Amino acid sequence: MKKTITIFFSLLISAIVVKAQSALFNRIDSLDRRPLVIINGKTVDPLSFLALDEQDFQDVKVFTREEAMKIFGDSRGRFGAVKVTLVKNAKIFTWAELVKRFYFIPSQVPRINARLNYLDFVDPLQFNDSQSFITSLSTVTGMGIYMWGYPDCLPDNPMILVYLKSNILYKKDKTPGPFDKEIEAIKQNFYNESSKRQEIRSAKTTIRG
Amino acid sequence: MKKSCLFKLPCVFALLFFSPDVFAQNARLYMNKQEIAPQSVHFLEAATIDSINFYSGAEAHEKLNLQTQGVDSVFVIFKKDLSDVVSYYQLLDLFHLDKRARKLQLHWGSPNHPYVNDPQSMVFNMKFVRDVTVIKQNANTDCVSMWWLGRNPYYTNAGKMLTWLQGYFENLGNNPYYRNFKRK
Repeated sequence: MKKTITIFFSLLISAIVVKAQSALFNRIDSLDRRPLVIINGKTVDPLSFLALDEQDFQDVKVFTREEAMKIFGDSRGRFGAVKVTLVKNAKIFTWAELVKRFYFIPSQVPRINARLNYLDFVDPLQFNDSQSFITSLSTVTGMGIYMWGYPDCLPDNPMILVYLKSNILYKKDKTPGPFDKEIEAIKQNFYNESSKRQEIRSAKTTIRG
Repeated sequence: MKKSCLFKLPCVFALLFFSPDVFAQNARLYMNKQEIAPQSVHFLEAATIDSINFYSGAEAHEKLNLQTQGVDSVFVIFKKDLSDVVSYYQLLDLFHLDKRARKLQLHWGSPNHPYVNDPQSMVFNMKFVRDVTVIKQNANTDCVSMWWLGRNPYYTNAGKMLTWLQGYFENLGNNPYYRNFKRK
């Protein structure tokens, strides 16, 4: 009888541990609290905000969660919104143009897992929709396809990584602008997301051994 | 001291002094009859290699009919099954890159590694290629940068030999003479 009880409890405990682990992994998705980003009136992938040259910003408007939900609807505005107007002569690259610039053949590059990596990021961030990503060319330092090297990246499931200049180095070269405070606050969100993802990823590795 | 030791020691010294100079400046790497870029040793799987032999230039010319006269060291990788390796252009295809000529730089963590002089003669086993990244160096120049993954077990003979060859060509790579190495 005693043995049965011990086995029952050990099974119960292991079930709880497994459940807790999966809950922890599911948290990764709930980290995606990126604001709605609208550039020149067009909704783009939120990571575009990091990849645009701040010198091209003519106007930046930040909407709080409540304001954004009122204007853009509950689901689109639930994490706030940013509206950016660029100067007229700003040179913007679309995803297809970027792929082509780095010698990849746009028609052949499959719509695979794509991520953006700041040199200061600890963990690359996944694009919500890479096709709607826009960037200034001056901020991008490289682009590549990975087959190994990241836990969820294998030859059957390769990954595209876009590298951005280090934000710290970028700030050094840049002349101070009127929207620096707002921009830094938004960028900080992405930094936080990156570090939290890294924390969870390392926790996942430790738990699974 | 034992008698056998007295006999062995001079033999070891004689071997050291009269063995072919493997650290000579002028070296070539072949896969069967085809000359390949020395950096290919980072991307080959030891388990699929039949043997690796070392010759002097004259010896390789005589025995294997290779055009290696005047070359100090020739390393020949014998490999019957070539199904696991791809050429440089096949690799570009696999990574959806167009075939415009660009510089190729290989990495294992050091950012200032010299370029591969002759990328077209590289061969790769895809298991050893981590990524292919195009890096914008300045407004006009870009380079293809690749990281390799060390996966060869050191405890097999071919594994040991490949690791040794990596170090050997690495040292030559750091030598300014070798940086100007050109295929004939």
